[in-house]
Amino acid sequence: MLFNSFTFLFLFLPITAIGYFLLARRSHVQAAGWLALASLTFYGWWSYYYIPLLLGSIVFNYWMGQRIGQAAGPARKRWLTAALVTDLGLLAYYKYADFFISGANWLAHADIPLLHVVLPIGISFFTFTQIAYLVDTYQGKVKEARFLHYVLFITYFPHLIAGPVLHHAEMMPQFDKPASYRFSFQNFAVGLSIFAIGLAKKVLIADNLAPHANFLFDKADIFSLANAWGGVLAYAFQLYFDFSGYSDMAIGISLMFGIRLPLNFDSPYKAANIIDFWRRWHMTLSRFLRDYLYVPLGGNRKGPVRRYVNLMTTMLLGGLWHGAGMNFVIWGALHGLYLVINHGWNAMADRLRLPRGRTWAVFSWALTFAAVCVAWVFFRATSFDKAMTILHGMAGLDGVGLPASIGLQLGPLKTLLEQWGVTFYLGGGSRFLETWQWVVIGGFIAFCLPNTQQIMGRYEAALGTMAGPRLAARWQLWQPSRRWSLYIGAILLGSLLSLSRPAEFLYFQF
Amino acid sequence: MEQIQRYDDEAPVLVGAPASAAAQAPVSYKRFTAWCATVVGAGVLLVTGFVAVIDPYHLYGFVDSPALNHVKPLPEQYREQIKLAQATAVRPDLILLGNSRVEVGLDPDSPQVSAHGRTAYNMGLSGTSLTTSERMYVQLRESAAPAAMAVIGVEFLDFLVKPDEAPAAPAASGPLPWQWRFDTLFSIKSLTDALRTVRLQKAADPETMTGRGQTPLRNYNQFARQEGYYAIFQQKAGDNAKTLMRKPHNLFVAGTNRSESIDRLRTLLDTMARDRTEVHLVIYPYHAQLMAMFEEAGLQSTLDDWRQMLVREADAVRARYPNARVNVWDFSGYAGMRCERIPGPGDTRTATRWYWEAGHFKSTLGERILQRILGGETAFGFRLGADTLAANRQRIAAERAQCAGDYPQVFAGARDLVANARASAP
Repeated sequence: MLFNSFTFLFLFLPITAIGYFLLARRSHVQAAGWLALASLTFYGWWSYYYIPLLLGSIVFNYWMGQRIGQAAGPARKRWLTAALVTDLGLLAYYKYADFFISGANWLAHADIPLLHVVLPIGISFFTFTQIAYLVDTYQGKVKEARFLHYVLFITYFPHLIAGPVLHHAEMMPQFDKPASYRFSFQNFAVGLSIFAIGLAKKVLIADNLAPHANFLFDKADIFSLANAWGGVLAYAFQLYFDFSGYSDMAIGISLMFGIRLPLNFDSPYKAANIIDFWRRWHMTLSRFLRDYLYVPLGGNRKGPVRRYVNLMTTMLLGGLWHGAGMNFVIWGALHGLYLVINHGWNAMADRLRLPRGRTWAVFSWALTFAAVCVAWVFFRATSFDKAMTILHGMAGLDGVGLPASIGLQLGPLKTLLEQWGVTFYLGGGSRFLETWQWVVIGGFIAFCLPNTQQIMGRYEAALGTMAGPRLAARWQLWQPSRRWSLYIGAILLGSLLSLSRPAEFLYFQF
Repeated sequence: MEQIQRYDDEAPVLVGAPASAAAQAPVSYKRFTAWCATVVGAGVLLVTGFVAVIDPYHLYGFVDSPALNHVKPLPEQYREQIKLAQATAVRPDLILLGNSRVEVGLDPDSPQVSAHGRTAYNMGLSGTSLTTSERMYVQLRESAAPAAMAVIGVEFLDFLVKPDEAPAAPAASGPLPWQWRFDTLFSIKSLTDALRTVRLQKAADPETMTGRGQTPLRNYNQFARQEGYYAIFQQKAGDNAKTLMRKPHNLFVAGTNRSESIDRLRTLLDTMARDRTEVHLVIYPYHAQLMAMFEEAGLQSTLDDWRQMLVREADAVRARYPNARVNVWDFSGYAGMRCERIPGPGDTRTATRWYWEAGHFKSTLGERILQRILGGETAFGFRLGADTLAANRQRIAAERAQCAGDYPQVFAGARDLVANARASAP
């Protein structure tokens, strides 16, 4: 089931919420059970075949968590290792079986048939959440005795399919709190507003950018400078608003149930450097990779060289997590390389005491955004060759072409442009204009407007902190006023009008 | 105290304010929610009311005002469902089936049609094959009486299959039956189309679909004025050349006398024979440029085989249903209108009379097709039968020689276009 569907909005969500708050009057346990049941229904709507897998994973990890918690000495580590091997093995089977078989076939010139395993939706997220739980249990940070709360923690539908990746320690106290079981208009109004903004990001912006990104990556045969950059920027903003919208919706829905989810996005395209970018993009995954991969590898505690190796390893594995393909590995490697360069540059700049003024900040931001866009090409392209073709165009090596229909509107400027080497090709005028219109809209919102958390800056609607300024301008701050009810109502209406073409979220495939 | 404690426990705590501050005006959140619901509710009513009154898809008919909504835009989605609903309302006794060539070129409001006392509807749909035509016809039959006459445009390129092509999988479940009704009333697309409808009333060359399903491409007049017909022909010819490079050269799946398109044609002809519908299969009058590109792509003999196959299928249906009335018309060739001169590069003043571009003829030419089919006196169009295939071949060869002599550039241009497409094919 998709958040951006009529079924979810007008059937699932009201029934779940009404049932939850009515049951909560009688028993918190029954309410939690109802929410867990609803979450399983939400998951099963996509494919009920994988509910046993989800439940099996939950029972297994809960049981292993008990074993780890009760064991002492080396046995503790053995239980943890066994659990992690099983979890990662399951993930590897579903996500990477065909990738490894293809690799083996290529290396050994063999012809082992592919398994064509269907990836259970959300498996990465519920597996990562449970790995974090097991490690925290091993480290003595948590001790969970209530199975029902554990089931709810894993299956909780606002986060189940595409994150955010949750920490046991930040969720369990909330499931204990009596206030979480009482309906509150404050929670509802704030949650609804966040949800509406997220829904609008998805259906009004991301879904309108999607055809233009898809055209470049799947259909285009002209890769001149403006076409290539237009399509790549369309994808960059599509992914941004798709994922950011999903995260907002998850936070908003959860808040209606009185539960705060961790912040997952903090205007990452405003990042001044790639280190900053990774503090703002998919924050809960970055946190997971930092705490459960980078730090165990040694982090920065074993000297600068090991630190860079650890960064590269973490980003390579992070890339591979996003998809079983070489392009994802290249994407991860590029970001690893960016991070190494960024850390190296920081060290050198500190040593040389280089000035860092406003101009430098703008240059740094532009360079970061361009680097991120270059990496997105590998993330989205269907093959390495396709990615290289698009990068070739982005570098201007396929020339600077514009549609002839636009050339006709330019008057004498057209002749001037032709003298500078700009060519004019037939067809594609509408596509070109629409692509850039949506890119400008996406760019304006991403770069110039406050993010949802800043708009909701009067409230701590999500867990975690933002890197950017805490509050938006006063007039941009949400409050339960008539003015804001008109804004949110209008946004909701616009989004409802756009629900007729429900499109899946990009992060569902990871 | 309990009140304060209660709000202190709530999740979205106010930043930098004491807990009691969050509890100051709990009613305002309720009012906020109520206002949101009111805005959404009122918006839904306004949008649905506006769309129903403007009626951008000819579905409701509450108002028909030249100042407001008489001219309708071309729908981008649910065109099949919209056309079926319109056709059901029109109850035509002459239906026009086919792809964009029919949708654009055959005018159901033609004087030829009304002069013969017929009511026509154009069910042609761009970008579709006979599978869609057959499906639409079957669905129309569920709610309307069979048409007395059907003109079915058959597209040569749709009949080309790979020898190892597997049978087409059954169509995936489409939108729910009610969904298109909902979306055409309440969606961003229906709202923008309603607004577009109001704007279209004053447009010189609007992109429209008529109440009888034709898409007359009048908006191409504007492109022609801005860029010239040469640009339109060249752009489409470039696309056609790429398409031709991807096409196989076979009509049948290996070891059979079948393909998906042939199966659909047989089914459609059988259904119409049972309905006692008089059928006219139409081979489109492609412009000489496109015919020359078929040649350059090596498709000439396949095109000839395809004509024979159509004649065989017509004979077969007559054998299965002795009362069946099926005619095969070949409007393809190189003579006269089909060898129309394409205006030169940069010429934005000369307008073509017969073609928008090589693949799509104008209603002026469509009028000649209807005239011939409806029994008018005209030499345009060749009735194909087993006994006339050889004569037709000679006719086309003679026309080609004439056109090549009169207008050699079109053949040279086609050669270049196909060569370029071949060079850039993956």
